[in-house]
Amino acid sequence: MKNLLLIFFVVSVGSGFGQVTWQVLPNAIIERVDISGVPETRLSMELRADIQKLVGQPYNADVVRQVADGIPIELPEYIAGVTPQPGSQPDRVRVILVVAKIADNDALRNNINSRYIVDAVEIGGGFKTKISDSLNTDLQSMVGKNLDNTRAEELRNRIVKENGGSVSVNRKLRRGNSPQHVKIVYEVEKSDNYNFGFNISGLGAYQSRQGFSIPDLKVSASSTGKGKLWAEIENDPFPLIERYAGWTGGYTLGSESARFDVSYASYRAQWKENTLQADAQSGDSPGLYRLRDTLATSLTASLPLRLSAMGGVDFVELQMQTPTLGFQKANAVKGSLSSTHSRPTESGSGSHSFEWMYQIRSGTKSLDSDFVYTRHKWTASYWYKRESNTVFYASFLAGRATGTAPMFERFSLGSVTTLRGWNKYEIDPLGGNRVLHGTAEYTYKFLTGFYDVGSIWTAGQPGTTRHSVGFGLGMNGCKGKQFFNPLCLVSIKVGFPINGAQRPALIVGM
Amino acid sequence: MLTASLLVLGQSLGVRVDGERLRIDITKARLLVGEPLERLHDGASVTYIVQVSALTARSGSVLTRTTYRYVISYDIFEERFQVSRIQPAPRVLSHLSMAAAEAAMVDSLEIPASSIPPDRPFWIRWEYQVEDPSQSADGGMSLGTLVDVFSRKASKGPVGGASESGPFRLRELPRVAPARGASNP
Repeated sequence: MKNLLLIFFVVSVGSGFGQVTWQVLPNAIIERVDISGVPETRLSMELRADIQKLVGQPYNADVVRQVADGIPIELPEYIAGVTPQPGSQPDRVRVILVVAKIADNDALRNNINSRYIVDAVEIGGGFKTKISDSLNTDLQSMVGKNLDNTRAEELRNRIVKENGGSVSVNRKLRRGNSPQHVKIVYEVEKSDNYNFGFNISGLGAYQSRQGFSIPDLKVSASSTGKGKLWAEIENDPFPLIERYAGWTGGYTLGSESARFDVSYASYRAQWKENTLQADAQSGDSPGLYRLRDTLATSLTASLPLRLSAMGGVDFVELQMQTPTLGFQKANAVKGSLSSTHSRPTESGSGSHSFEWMYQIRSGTKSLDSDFVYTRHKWTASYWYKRESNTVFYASFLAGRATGTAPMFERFSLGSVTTLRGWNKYEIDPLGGNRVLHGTAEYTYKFLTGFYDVGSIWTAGQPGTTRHSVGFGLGMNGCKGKQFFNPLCLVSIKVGFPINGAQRPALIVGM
Repeated sequence: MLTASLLVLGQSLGVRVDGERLRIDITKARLLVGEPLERLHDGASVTYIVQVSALTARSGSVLTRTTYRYVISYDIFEERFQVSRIQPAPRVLSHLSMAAAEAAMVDSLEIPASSIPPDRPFWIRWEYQVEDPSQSADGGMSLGTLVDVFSRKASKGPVGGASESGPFRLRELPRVAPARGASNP
């Protein structure tokens, strides 16, 4: 039904009367008028009479449209378009008034202007704007299609990002040069010079066998063209084998297209009993540390084909507690390549999104590192959003580390996002240097079902493939007053290990 | 007491009993004004959240509440409004004048009467808020986002309004006559 509606809007409303393959001859006589999509009896006698008065008249697009416009006035839940068709003779025309219910089309329901065709996209305003080639291509790709407000808003946000947040962009819709055609105007203005912020990124999380993470508290100060200074405190047991707690701060200069970052982090590491015992008994352990201080630098640049590349150096000092007390360096060069793609579905009411990333880090003697290793990590994620209440999500992770990587570089599974239901300290308390993991997740409204499969092992030793399934309650994409819906603020998931001796795990807050 | 309607922002608020529900009548509501109206004229959609609550007292606790969510757009060619109710029961009305669009947002407001004690006084509060466009974009919502919203620099205050009326007693309220032939609820 939605596809039919789209065809109807493109042919009968968007493209105008004279642009379909068949054209009405001048002074062609209307031999018949039909109404499609709604019973004629729902129209008033007067309107039906006006419609039938068209029969025998020379075809005039404006006159026919005026009559058709009477239909949605009487039936405000409907929209009407005009489609001329060949008559029984070359100089005759048959007119079909196609009536469709607005509620059947998500795009129209959210904005009546979605029925119009975009014939231009313009950048205006009083500020010189940086627009990358890829963004410009995406902006121009809206031309010739029905207005897609979601897409137009996404591109507005990209204009802001590409200019490093130093501009404000207003999106305006204006009448185009021909009837039923519109142009999108992005008006760009320089934004305020200074901005101070405080936010909590993420609610934090709880895993029934690994404990709590606290929300990351972040303060920031930025100035247009002068970069952004930020500081953050963290306390998190989930991403690494260790629970790390401490602070980090940094400075970011540049924009979405090219950015320089420098940051310093100081974390105290806490180890679970399983890890302490494994470290004492295993010859594979790289050693545990009490403190981890990192000075990180990186350059990030946007490349063609929606690629983003990063390169940099991390200087890491570890205050070791095993095998011997003392300080060791884990300095490493790092790089990554990533890409993000998103496109609306054919109906315009959903979207497909895909992103992937490859990361490499290498500890080397040339940087005076005590840990010599190379770590590769590949991740990919796909989302299919159908309208607003159905989401399919799948992700993939692969990792490989060679040499002697420090503990914070070793892989782990069995937490709040991987092998949910399993406990990473029971699977592999020292982590591994090889990992494979996949997730499939389906969410309908507030109910999610998921399946995780993964394996973590150390090179030269056999690995075990583990599975888990589970369900969750929570809502994504909440808007407005939904802020106060508990399922928008907190999600609850329960993961069940399959064929494992472990008990199910409760996960809250992710 | 039944006529003790409080006028705020120029509108009046009345209450009737219709079976198991309370119907709320709002007149002269001016919702399409200011910056939201400018955004509509620029072809954007604007989301309005309308909430009706029954309270134990004027500033008392909530007995029951119904939330309505509308997406408004303005046809830049026909210069007419469209009101699309997303919540609770979806409904679309198009080709509306400004007054008709405003009326469509306050038409058919109701709350369940079952949570309201028949002999105790209660107040009705009607309020609306225009959703910040930055919240309208798809994206995850978390306590972090919530704190971010409340802590960021406010460029323009939120657009909204409220009206209260009371006290009422359920058994003293006028009742909507059942339609002829309809069963008595």
